[in-house]
Amino acid sequence: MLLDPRTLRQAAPAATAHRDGGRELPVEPQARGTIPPDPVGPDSLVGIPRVQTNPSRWNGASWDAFVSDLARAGVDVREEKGTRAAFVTDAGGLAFGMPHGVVTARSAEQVAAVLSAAQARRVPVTTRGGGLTTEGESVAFGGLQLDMTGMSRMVWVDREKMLARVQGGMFWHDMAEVLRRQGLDYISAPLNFTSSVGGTLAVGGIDVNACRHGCSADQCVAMEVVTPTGQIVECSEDRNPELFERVLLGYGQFGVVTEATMRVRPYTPCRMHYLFYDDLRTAMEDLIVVVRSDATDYSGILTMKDRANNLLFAFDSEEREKDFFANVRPKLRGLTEMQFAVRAAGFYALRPWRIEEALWLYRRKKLLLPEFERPEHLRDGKMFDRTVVFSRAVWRHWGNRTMVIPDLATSEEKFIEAILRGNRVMRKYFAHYTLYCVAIRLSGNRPRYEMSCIPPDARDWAYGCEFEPMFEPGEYSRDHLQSFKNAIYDVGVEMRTSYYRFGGSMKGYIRRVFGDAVVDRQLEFKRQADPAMILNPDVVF
Amino acid sequence: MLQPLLLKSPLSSRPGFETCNGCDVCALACPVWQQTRDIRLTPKGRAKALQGGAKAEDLVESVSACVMCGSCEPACPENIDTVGMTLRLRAELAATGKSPVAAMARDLAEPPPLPEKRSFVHMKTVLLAEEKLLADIPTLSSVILRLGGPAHVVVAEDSGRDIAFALEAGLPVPPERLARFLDGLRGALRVVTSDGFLHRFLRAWLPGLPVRSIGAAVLHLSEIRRALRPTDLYVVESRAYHADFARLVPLYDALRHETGCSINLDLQRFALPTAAPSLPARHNAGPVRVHEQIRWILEGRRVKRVVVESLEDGEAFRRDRGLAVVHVAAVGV
Ligand SMILES: Cc1cc2nc3c(=O)[nH]c(=O)nc-3n(C[C@H](O)[C@H](O)[C@H](O)COP(=O)(O)OP(=O)(O)OC[C@H]3O[C@@H](n4cnc5c(N)ncnc54)[C@H](O)[C@@H]3O)c2cc1C
Ligand code: SF4
Ligand code: SF4
Repeated sequence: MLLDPRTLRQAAPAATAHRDGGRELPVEPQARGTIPPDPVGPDSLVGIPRVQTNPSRWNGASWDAFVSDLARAGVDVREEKGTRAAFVTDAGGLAFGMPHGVVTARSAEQVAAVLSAAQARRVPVTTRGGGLTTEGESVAFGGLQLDMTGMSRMVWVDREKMLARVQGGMFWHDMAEVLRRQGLDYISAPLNFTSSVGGTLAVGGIDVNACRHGCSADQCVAMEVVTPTGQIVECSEDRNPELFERVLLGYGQFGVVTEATMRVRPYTPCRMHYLFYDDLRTAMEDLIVVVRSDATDYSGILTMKDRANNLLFAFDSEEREKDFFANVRPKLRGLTEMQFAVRAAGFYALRPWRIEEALWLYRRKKLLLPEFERPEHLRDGKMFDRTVVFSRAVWRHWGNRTMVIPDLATSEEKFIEAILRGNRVMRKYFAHYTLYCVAIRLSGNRPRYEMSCIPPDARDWAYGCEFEPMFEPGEYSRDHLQSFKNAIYDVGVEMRTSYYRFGGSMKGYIRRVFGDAVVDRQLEFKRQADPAMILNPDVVF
Repeated sequence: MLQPLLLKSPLSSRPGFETCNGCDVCALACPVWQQTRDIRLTPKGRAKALQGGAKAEDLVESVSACVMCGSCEPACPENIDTVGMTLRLRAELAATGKSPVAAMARDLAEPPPLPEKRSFVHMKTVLLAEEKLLADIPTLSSVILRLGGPAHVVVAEDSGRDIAFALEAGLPVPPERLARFLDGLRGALRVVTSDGFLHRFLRAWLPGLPVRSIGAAVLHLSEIRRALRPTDLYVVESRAYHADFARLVPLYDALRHETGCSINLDLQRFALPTAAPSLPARHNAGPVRVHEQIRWILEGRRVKRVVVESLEDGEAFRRDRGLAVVHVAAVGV
């Protein structure tokens, strides 16, 4: 049952406790805006209390005064149950919060009014675009939910400069619909239709062409940002560059993106190719060869468990395709679909006790293949609207009310070991799963990469991998899912990688992953920018 | 009380609002989202509000905004009966007497008088034509001709329009009225409709009887396909198309590649509706403006002629842009 926010004004919960080897260990309540020493004992990675998915709910002090301030500023705060209920969780479906109220942003001025009132009244504000986080980062645990989807229009398109100015809440797919009428396309974006431009710039944005173009945040040339204290500031590499670098990949900590100028490109359909591997390590080694060659426009690995590993690559032009087949393909050890099928049949014929796995692989292939070969999106060997094909498949065949997709982002050197360790975790926790790996080209050594999805030791390219369980044949408990996520994140902690969408793991791990010096510097920036620490609390700080 | 007709529909056996994962994909092709950028007014907004315990009365604005184009339904990855969900909410609202859409439909939902004699429909194509088509004799004649000629086509005297309006508005339809309408269709070879709203219901009520839109029924004719040009904009009637999406996508895709014409489809291949046939648009109410839909459909396209499956869509283009409009059945005549 949902409660009225006015009945929820009790104080923040008292200190909780967690168990370690039968001993009750007290956990101190945290003051907002502080980062405690890591709760991760160096000798124990099991049973770490995670902060993000279960933060305490804000107690509602000063809410009424805040709402009155906003009413005077002409900003409508919606407090009715039906509206607030749309924001109880994110795509992850594991972290549940409830905002006291929702503002659907319509202008930068309105966002500025919200943030300056929130700063004065110390009301937490959680920004949300598509809400496709999976660790509760876009969920408001009390306070105000700032719904950016109301700012969702194309502002202008400049064909000569190949730039488009969009509002921060615009879904990438809506952007593509407008651009395609002009024969243009965005460069790279998450393959899921409904992540927003602002939410993606805050996090990263990985597409199968990130190997060539980098993450979506690196396609941004300028932004209008509302700072946590309510100033509307235009920033770019030349204007207010510090703010620009902090907001990009900044997890929404340093401002709300209300507009962004993004690079665009002429639209081209692409030619897709697939190679198949029964060995995950070989597939990853070949991905590295493909990425280093810089000969493809798209590349990635998509697996069915670790038995059918698909290296996909694609080209925007026939010349590049020809070059690749002449120079790079001979170095790769992948099989054609037919060769793979024959080899797999032999493998399972000798191992009849693994028949269930073979049948699952077969069923999954039968289900997925038509999705990638829908005739209305394929013609003369070219894939039209690859983002539609991939995003549709993602929601239909990987989507769920609970989406558990922990990930790791590593340097090239650590890529194979980290993913093989992650794969062992997957095998332990789930009967069926998918891994999705891509490379992310770095554009130099940017300040924005500090304490972000780009691991500190990555050079030229970082590599990301999503670990996505399939929930058939059964349901898994929330505890099982959380333990699994922790186990994947623990691989990252131990190997000092990063996480390309790390969210909930962040606050609990941040000091061990990045070290005290970096964390303290970023925390100081945050305190200066957001004195009351009200913007997107508990995600990072 | 729920509409018994809605409960009878097989749509009700599909997942409901409880299954919504909040992905927002239903919004992408929704004209209400396109025009308002207000997620509360989309199927996701309604489903999530219902999950949170909201009642139909809390959702009046959202429930009334929908123009029933149907694109949210094939879009939904959870296969949720999004249209059925909205119709049920409209029925609940109508029962409270507080539904703006129900008020719009009261006159239109009057049943027609009993026909003097029953038409003989056995093994014939029955055409359910809306008022505009019935009044446009040259176009009606072309439709009949393209469907096989007068010997094979019966224009139903009872087109079920009142039932369609009642269902769209959430008003109850007396069982005897429905029985009379369906009796007039039994034994037919197929039913062809000029407005697709009833498709989903007809398929449920008369399983096995093929139900087609005029476009889907005539586009196999080579004389029509030959007469379509790259400068044409072909406007698919969205309600019929989305109610039979998986079957129809290849048909229109082939049409586009064969003729080079542009079609009012978006990147996901959903049809952008003019919204003109909807109850809110007829009353110039709700957030979806026909003018804005037409602007968006035409953006970036160079169009000399608009080819329509629905005369209501055609009239909207003519009125708004003064474009040359021709009905698909009259193309190449
Ligand atoms: C099914 C599925 C598939 C996915 N596939 C991919 C993929 O292919 N590649 C990939 O990179 N990611 C992928 N993701 C992750 C997701 O797309 C990214 O996290 C994306 O960046 C989220 O965008 P959003 O608009 O949903 O942001 P939200 O989830 O709403 O927010 C993300 C963070 O940014 C903040 N924020 C939101 N809007 C703004 C703004 N305007 N200004 C400042 N801060 C803001 C939020 O507070 C939050 O901390 C996937 C997720 C799902 C559920
Ligand atoms: S039927 Fe059309 S207008 Fe109604 S909610 Fe679905 S997509 Fe939107
Ligand atoms: S597409 Fe379906 S699951 Fe997704 S938000 Fe809409 S109704 Fe919910």
